[in-house]
Amino acid sequence: MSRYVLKRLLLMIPTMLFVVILVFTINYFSEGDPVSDILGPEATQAQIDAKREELGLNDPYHEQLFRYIKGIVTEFDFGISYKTGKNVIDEVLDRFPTTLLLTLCSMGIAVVVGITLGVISAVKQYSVFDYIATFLSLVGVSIPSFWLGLMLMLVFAVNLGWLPASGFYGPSYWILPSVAIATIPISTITRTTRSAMLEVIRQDYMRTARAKGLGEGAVILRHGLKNTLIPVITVIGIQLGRTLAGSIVVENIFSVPGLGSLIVNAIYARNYPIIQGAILFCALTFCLINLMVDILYAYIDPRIKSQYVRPKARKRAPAEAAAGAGKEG
Amino acid sequence: MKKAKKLFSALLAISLALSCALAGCGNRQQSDPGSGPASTTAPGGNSGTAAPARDTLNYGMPQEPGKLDPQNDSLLVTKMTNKQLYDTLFVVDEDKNICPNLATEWKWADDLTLEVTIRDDVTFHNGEKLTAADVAYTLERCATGNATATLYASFDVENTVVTDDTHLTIKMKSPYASALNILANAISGIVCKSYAQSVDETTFGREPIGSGAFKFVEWVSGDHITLVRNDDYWGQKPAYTNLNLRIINDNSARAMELETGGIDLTDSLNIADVTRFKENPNIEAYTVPSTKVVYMAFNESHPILSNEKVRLAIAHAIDAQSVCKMAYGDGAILATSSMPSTLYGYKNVGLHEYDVDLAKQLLAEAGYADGFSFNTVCPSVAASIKTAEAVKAFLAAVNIDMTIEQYDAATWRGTKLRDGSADSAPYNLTADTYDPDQNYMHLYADSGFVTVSTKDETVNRLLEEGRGETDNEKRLAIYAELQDYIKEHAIEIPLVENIISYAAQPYVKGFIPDVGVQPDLKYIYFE
Amino acid sequence: MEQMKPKKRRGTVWRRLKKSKTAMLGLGIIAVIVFMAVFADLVAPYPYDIPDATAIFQYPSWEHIMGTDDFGRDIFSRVIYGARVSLVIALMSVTISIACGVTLGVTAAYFGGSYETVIMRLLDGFMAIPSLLLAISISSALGNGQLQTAIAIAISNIPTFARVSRASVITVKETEYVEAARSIGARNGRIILKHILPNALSPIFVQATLSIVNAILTIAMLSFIGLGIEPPTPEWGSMLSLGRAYIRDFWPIVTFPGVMIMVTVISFNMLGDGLRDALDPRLKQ
Repeated sequence: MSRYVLKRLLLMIPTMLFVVILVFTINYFSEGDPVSDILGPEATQAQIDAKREELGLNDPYHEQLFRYIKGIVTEFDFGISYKTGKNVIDEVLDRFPTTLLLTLCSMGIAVVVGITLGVISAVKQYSVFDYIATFLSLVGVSIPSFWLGLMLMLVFAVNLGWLPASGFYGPSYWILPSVAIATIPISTITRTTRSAMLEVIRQDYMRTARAKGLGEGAVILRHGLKNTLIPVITVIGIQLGRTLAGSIVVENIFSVPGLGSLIVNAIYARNYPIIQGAILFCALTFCLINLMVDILYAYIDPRIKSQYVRPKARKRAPAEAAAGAGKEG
Repeated sequence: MKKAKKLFSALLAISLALSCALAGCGNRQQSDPGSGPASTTAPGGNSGTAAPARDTLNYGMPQEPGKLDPQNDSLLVTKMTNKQLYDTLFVVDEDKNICPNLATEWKWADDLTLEVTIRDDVTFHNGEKLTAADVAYTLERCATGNATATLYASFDVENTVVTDDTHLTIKMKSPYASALNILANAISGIVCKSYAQSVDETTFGREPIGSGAFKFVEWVSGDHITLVRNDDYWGQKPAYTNLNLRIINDNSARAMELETGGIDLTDSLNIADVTRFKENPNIEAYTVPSTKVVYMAFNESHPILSNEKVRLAIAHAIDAQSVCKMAYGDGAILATSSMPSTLYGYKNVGLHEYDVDLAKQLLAEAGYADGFSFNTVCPSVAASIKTAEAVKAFLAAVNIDMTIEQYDAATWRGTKLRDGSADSAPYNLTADTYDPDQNYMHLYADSGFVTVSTKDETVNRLLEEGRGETDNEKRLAIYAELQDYIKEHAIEIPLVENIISYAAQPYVKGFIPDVGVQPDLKYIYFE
Repeated sequence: MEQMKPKKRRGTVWRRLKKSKTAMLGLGIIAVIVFMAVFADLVAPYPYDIPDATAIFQYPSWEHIMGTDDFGRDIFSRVIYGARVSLVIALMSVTISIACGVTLGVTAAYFGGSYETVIMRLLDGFMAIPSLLLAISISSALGNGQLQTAIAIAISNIPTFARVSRASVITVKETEYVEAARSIGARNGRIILKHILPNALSPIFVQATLSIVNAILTIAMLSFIGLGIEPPTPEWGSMLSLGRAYIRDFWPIVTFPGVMIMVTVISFNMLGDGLRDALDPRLKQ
């Protein structure tokens, strides 16, 4: 098992290197110019030229790329923010806990609501509740989160005055943005739980458990839920990564000082070191989440665990699982 | 329904007050014997009045400053913050007069020599005394600073002479009529020489030390900057202790935050919100004219747009009144010149009349009766986009096809306006020194802004003359002539004059709305 | 035999799809939206870009069924033209990602070996960046415009298509009829196009509907944050973005574009669900 984890971690190195190159290249070829934004509208052409030279923006592509990678590898230096002059790492780490908190809040809501709705509608298949839940989860994946954010803010912050409209200072501030982000994961988790549960309910061991005289609730919780965990966890893992990215726009609406607002403001100002650093950081987190999901499988499902004991035999398994899961989302 | 809402807000207020009280216990007890905590039922009793006597001003800022270094960051929000942290030699009052601040006396010995006497009782936040050497050092920074170098081009900082701790002589390379206005701007905030030399540039901009009415406390990235009253301030000390500058990018969100009591004062709101606030007895809304005119700038190297007749045709084809109404609502007024009415030297020259037939006739005379096409490049800012959209619609009526290209602000200003690829652009410049030379800064042939600048000799001659003329009457005459000339030859086509909006809670008193969006917050008190 | 197979399949799929009421409802709504988008010039009662200073901010009435915006333009007409923009970009982007993704995925699965390893590693790199984030950064690099936006969204979707098509090709590759074709000496290109691809289509097809949904939402989101489509092209997201300032005072301007996005996306989702069930009855819930 630890060999598998180690191998996956090692495999992340070339992946991350590729991401570095990719993100750098995208930024290199974008036509914007950060310098005028650093210097402001009053800057002279001479100042601009000097600043470009100072930042090394006139150097050829490969030199700049090499310098960037070298900085990361040798000194863990991701450059400094053009706007504030602060270290990119510091800037990103300043913002990351907020985004993480927001992501976890919305995933918490999504997991609790999603699984509950999914289980109930599977157990009461074809009931009114089932139809409503199915319809809601259809609507949930279809609402643009930024629009929902605006509407929630309008209703709950302004018209009703129940919750604060912006900022991120305590639990009451977390609710609206979390809900806006949570709708999509709620819907997908509901759907996945429902279909997995439906499949499980028809299985023999459920009938056996019922025959043993266990109450319906206990049967569902103890036997049913446990066996639906694999697909549900897959979906949660995928959604966790997406939520991280999905918070970008919602953070901007609610003025949450997280990575999302950092990235968007950096894009407006062509603050390349920040864009690159923040995206790299997201990618790293994303990869780690995927790895954790894969490890989690192993603990839940002994069949999968057995594959890792003989890693050579079924090399492709995790990749396939991810691909198969991708089409669900 | 309404009752339930009120009940709920009352409950909320109580719980808020409770939590405030609890939090207060944790910290040191704030004694405020002035008025008992019971007498807080202010008129118009709304949620939030249950809180104890106010000691914090929460200001909603539309953007986050880059670095709080007066000379190296020209964002408006930075200037606004620095105005609270740093002092300048002069200040400009509401009538645009230069008034003493750190400088107590000043005298032009000749056109190139300014003798200044500064106060003797000023200390920086780190306890050091502010002397003439700090002023001289600040001028040195200004000569090379990112935000200042252009405006300080006429200053001869190397020859500044520090006579003693309170006297210095500032030299000019050439006569510069707006020198005092520039020294009064927040970009000329006096920095502490020893501090600037002892820390690196990042720390300097991140943990600023000035001599202003407020001291820096903390800066939580992306969220807020906290300042506290400087109890050793030489001038009028603020009536409240904490100044919390909250960063809320979205205009609507900021308005909602004001309504829900999260902030006490904010600027740059959407005009729809301002209009609503004006009818709301629980919110005080302020609107003041701004220091900027939005106009269409044309790239003179464009083969067709370089034709004066064509530009005049465009000017007649646009109904600026409708552009104003559609793109700005009540957020702007019709421009009356290429200069905002708030500036020194402004003359009401009026706009070209909206006359489609005349426009068509002019186009026909120029040989473009069948129209032509050109592009306009605007930044991803709602007002600019909407201005371009409205102009496009009017030009379509005279067969001119104006295509709109949209870029992020950095690309727009940094690349598109400079490399000549933009045939035209909706443009504006905030002239927050209140000086006409700043307003026309990018019109100079060598400004680097190809799309905005003009090679017209008369314009450039008048600009140079205006910059150097120190005689009041003559200078006014020069700018009057310039404004007439710009209109007559349609060098640029002014459209609207922006309005600056502020909105505050009713208990915020003593607020002076600044036309340059850099209000001085030390005069505020609560009632 | 292989000539017969796809045709027969198509018939059964359609029959199964027809049974699903939600899928048919979705298809119906999509048909209406597509019709309106294609014949926008005839359907829209007003031009989408001519301002009318005399008719600013009118609430819905018989004259303007969705009201007018801050320029006095008919919101209904703009929403219809907006459908055209969104659908065109979504289709463009999905076409590009299918073309690139499927080519990569199918060849990787078919040839295997180090070619497959390299391709899959590269795609891993792409997939390491959340697709929305990738789309945002590419879009900011390419600039605004319909083609640029389509490309940005397409690139972020390529890996998904590559993986899905690779996975399904791997299962088809070992089947008897492919073996048979290979044994009679058919060339690689022919085998892929004639034998493998048609039989690996259904997951790609399902993924395509999901990607259209994704693309429509992403276009709106990009335009909302100022990337994406330039005005006065009536894109739903940019309508929301510019209308956002009036959210409090004039609800139609932010409501109808949002509702349109939702309705379109819901119908594609309903169709996609039905299609998935019809193509693969085993998955039927």
